[in-house]
Amino acid sequence: MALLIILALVIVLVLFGIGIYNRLVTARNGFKNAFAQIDVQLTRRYDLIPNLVETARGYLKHERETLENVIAARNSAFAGLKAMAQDPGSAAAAAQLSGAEAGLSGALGRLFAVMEAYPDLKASANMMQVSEELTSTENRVAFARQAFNDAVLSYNNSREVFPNSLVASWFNFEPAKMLETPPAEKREPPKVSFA
Amino acid sequence: MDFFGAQARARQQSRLLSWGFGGCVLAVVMVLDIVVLSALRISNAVGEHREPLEASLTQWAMLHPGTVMLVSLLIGGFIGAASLWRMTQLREGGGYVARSLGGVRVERGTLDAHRRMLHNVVEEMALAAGVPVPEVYVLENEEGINAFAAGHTPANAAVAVTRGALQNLKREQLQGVVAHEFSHILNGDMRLSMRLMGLVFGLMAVAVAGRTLMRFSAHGRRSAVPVLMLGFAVAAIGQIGFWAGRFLQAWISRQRECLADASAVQFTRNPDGLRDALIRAAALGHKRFANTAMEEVAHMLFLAGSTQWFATHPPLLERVRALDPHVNQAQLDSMLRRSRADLERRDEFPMGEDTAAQRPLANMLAMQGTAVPAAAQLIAASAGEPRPGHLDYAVAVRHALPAGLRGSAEDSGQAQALMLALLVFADPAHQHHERQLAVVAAKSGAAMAHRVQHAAQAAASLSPMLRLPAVLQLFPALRTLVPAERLLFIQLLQELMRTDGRFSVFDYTLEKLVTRGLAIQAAPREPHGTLSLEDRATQLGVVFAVLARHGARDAVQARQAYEAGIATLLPRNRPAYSVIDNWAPTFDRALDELCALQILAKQLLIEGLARTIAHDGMLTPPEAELLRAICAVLECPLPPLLPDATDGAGQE
Repeated sequence: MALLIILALVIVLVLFGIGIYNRLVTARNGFKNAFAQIDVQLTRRYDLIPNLVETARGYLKHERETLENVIAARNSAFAGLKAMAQDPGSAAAAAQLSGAEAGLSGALGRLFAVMEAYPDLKASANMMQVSEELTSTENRVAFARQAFNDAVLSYNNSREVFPNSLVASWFNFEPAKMLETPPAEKREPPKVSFA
Repeated sequence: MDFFGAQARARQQSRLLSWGFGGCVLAVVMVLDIVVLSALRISNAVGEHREPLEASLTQWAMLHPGTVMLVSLLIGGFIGAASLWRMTQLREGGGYVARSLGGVRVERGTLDAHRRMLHNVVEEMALAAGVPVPEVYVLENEEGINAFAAGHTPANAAVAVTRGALQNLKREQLQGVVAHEFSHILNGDMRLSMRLMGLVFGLMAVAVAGRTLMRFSAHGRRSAVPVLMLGFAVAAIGQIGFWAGRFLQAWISRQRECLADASAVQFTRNPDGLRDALIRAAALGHKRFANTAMEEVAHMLFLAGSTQWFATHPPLLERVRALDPHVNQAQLDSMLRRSRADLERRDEFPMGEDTAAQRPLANMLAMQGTAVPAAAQLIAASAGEPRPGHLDYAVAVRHALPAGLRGSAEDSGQAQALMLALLVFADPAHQHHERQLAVVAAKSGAAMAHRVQHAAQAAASLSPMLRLPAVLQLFPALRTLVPAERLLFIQLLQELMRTDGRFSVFDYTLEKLVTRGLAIQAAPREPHGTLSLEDRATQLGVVFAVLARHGARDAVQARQAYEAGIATLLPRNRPAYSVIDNWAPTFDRALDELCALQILAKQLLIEGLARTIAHDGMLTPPEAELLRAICAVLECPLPPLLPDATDGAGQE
């Protein structure tokens, strides 16, 4: 009788453990997929920016420099992504990419600010389309990052609470790290001159 | 706003309430049990068996466990069956619900700025919420600001917003609304509310059964009173259960709305957008739904009219305060006033045209087929600014295209097949279908050839005026191809054109659009140059001559059309009209050289081309196609060309 009870207890515990294990795996796959999404969105952004800038060029003839900055930032970020793809573990590549990314966001931010300064231009339908696409592209990158961070948070939460923490340590569920945007670049306001 | 905390609270509350709901259903079953068992006991006592009535109901029940089980099972089964029947009714995918409420699907590549923004916002929110992109619909007949999500799994979900929301909300407000709907998708609210609706229906069925019993007792003469009483009791219990169920359902729904608001902030990280959307929607007023079936999805809406107890949504102030705790009633009122004033100002410049105008336009496109009336100033004006008419046009084109040719933004394979089918079958100039299909099979496999064949009928019967729109709507899906696939696809298209031997205007345009639209690298050179029109007079002559010849019936008319266009560009020295044999290579070279024109010169050029096209008052398919190809090569954006008749508003 006692043996049966112990056996039943063990079975319940094992089933419970399997449940926890499966939830952890689901959470881990969740944030991994979220990371893949960031990659997709970054690539999409690199593909799109040259086309959008080409369209904008016709309208922003006096803002050549701003547009060229965007293209240059895009090219360096694209190179960064390629380097990252070749050596995914490298910390230097990651730092380079996130720096280049921040540079690109800043350049695009300045482009938006410049567009704000031309009310007529903003009202033009083509420019509205360009700016809608750019806005959406930027949002996608931001939202993909945010979704990744949210997924990491929920994974880490379910990894660290008791008794999941036991299962997590037995099966080596490593803690995941969130993505951070370099604060200095992000806080820098876009420069607009009305000279 | 602490959105994670708010979500946890709302989840916990609605879980408790769901248990309460289950308890409510159970209570109804138990009370019914007691009523029915009492009835049985009494009838047994007065019947032939003559059981003594002294024993209490509990004792009686102990003596007849089989009967108790049977009765409980029957009652439970009845409620369950009614609920299941209702649930299967609600089981359709989200797209079905949206369409049955008058929703019009929004495709990824739509040309309408508002709808494009909507689709972008939905894709962004899908990323933020980590769910697949749902189908997107616009409820064209709803003027108020509202939205709903439908479908019971994320995979078959649909998000629909009203036309009023599309026209009156700013981007971040729309984002808040869409994010709110995404929360309903992500949190499985559709499934939950489907179950609740089913169970409420089951309880209502009990009440209906009771009433039927009462009516039945009125017909049967004998032993009418006991049956009447039983019927009354059942009806009363069913009705009470129904109201209680409705009440709990509404309460759960309010909790899910709080959850959705909190999740929307998690997705957008922008409580202000959602708050402003709420205020704006309230300021515009609760317009009653034009479609009464809309009430069916009330619990999935963004905003609903409220009757206190059975309100599916929390009151506005509560929702706004959850997003922005500093707001009080007075501030809310002044926000509403300001928003109302804002909306009235916008009313002076209405953006949307009546959608009823779309159907005739669609019919016109489909029937007229060969050519539509056109005026020069309209075509030229098109090159600048899309007007409201264009928005309707995009919708109309979708209506006009046969279903088999509408590409889906997700399926690039289908888009390739449709593009190939259009190339092979849509142009009557091509006759070597078998040979071309063999090429497709050899290059892309038998499956692709089969898909092309499948679309053949639809492509062959397509009106020529719709060939170009049919091609253009495939691009968003084609752009999802990776560079290597793009290259293979372009090569396949070019080989198909060579296989046939004849090279039509449609072929030429298709090739230009595809090579430009699917370019792997952005053009390295500057798209616009510095040259003036005089510097490129010869090339202009070529372009105008080719266009004039393809639009005119005879040589005389072609010459007149040529002069009508080119004279505005080159008033003094211009090349004379000449027929160009084997036009494609010459035309191609001329276009390439025209790329070096200044952007202003290009604008003039397009105006001139429009004059040539409109010289005979008709826009023919080859003209439209050539103009589209020219604009693609010169990198001038060009909205769809509108038929003259539908767009009086453009002419001042």
